[in-house]
Amino acid sequence: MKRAYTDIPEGQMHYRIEGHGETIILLHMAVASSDEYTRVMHFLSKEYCVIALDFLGTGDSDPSPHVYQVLDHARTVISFMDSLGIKKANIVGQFNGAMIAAVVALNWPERVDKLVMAGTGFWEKTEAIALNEPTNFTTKVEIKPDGSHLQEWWRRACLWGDYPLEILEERLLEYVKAGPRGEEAHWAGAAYDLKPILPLISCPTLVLDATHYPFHYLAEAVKNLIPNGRLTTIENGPMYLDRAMPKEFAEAIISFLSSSVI
Amino acid sequence: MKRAYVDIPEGQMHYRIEGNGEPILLLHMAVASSDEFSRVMHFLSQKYRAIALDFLGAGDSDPAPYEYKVLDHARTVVSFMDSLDIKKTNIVGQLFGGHVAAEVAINWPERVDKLIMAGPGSFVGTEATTHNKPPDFITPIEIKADGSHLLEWWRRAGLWGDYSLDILEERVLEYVKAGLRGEEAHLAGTTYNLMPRLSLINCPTLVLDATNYLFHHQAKEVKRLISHSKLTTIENGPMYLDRAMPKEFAESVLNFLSSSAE
Repeated sequence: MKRAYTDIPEGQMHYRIEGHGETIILLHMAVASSDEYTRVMHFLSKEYCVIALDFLGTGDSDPSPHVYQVLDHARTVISFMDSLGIKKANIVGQFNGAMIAAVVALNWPERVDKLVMAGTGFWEKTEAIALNEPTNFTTKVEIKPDGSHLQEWWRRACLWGDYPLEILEERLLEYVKAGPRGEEAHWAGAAYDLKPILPLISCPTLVLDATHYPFHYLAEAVKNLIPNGRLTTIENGPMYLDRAMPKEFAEAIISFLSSSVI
Repeated sequence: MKRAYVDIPEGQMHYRIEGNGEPILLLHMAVASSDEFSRVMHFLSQKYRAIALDFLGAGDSDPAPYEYKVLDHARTVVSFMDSLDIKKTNIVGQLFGGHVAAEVAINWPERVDKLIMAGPGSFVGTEATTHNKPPDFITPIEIKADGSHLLEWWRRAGLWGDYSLDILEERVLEYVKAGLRGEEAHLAGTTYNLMPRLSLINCPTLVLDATNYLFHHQAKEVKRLISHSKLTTIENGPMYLDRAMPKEFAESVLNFLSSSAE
């Protein structure tokens, strides 16, 4: 795997790239980075050219010039493809990355072969509040002289299941890289109304679900709203599915991409 | 300023680059990164091509294949120059980076125009090593399930004076990026015997000192041992001199480079 930068109008975007063949672009969740796909890329790169980017404001990409919404990030994906000369790609996104992938497929259908939406759901307004109240993982974190903001980021990294310390440390690094503006990505995701656009997605789409994804209960509904949708559910798959079960994650994608169009 | 990667035999090295003209290569202190020179590069790049690299195991470069000593890092600097086709350059190194810069100048004199060692000095022969007890800012760190290792990194980042929170946050990001193996650089630096090496440096050399550098008391002795050397001392300059007083740091470098050799 190699790491590299490419220029888009807003600045530099950082990405990871591995393998040869048809292109798969991987879009990460909120306050994360291309690093989340490192293990998955190992498997996908045996048959594909796999590229994972960092959205503006996360990982090692430049910050966005203002608070970006889902559509703004979708535009940067197109700029990214333009700068690398990629005309059309399969796109995989997890959580926030899945919403952005859906918006790319909706607005630039000529640029997307097949779409994989992992852990997709839609925040019903009341649900968002109810879910957020007890755990509070999206309020802005300010840097504190006593370093307690690091512990708050550590707490947020640990909220979503039991993982080895190595994975938690990777998550923490992503929080520190994104910094105080990191949560803008969560706000963009929470503010985006995904439900109405699902019936408009025309390309073959895999809804990749795991039984411990927060939106597991919506997976069937999401699949039914997408005209060319399929559903694969990974038993006991946790929130950080790509990091914790990379082989299963990659196999679900490969079997979908290699199957004939529905 | 742009960020980029280049290949050396051990893997990818990450660097920052800005400006045009004669090159100045900037080498960072232990458990830090090219980011420490971002502000300095702004000033240097008006007249020079300023390039700051991340040593293997630091910042966004690949890890070193094993525990690297000062001379190993010096070799990677030459590999880095080879891969960017830089035949000869001015080199600036701060603290640990100064040790590495000195070894490049000693072993590859044909590759170095002028040398600037900021804050040079050595623990060897001092209490820290004669009692065989490393100071408590270089002991190895383990990732703890409660996240307390983050507060230890924050403590280490804050040990060296009063800085703004954004500088401390930059430092802690460097600690998290370097991770568990980060302190290998401090160990390499503290066990490096600088003083006997100084008489082997033949190029024009600036000893850039600051009154609050850890090794301020050794600056005159370092200057005396290098044959073609000058000494500049910045009053009230703190340990993170490049981050806290970038203009003064850059002006000292520019004055020295534009002066005729002694």
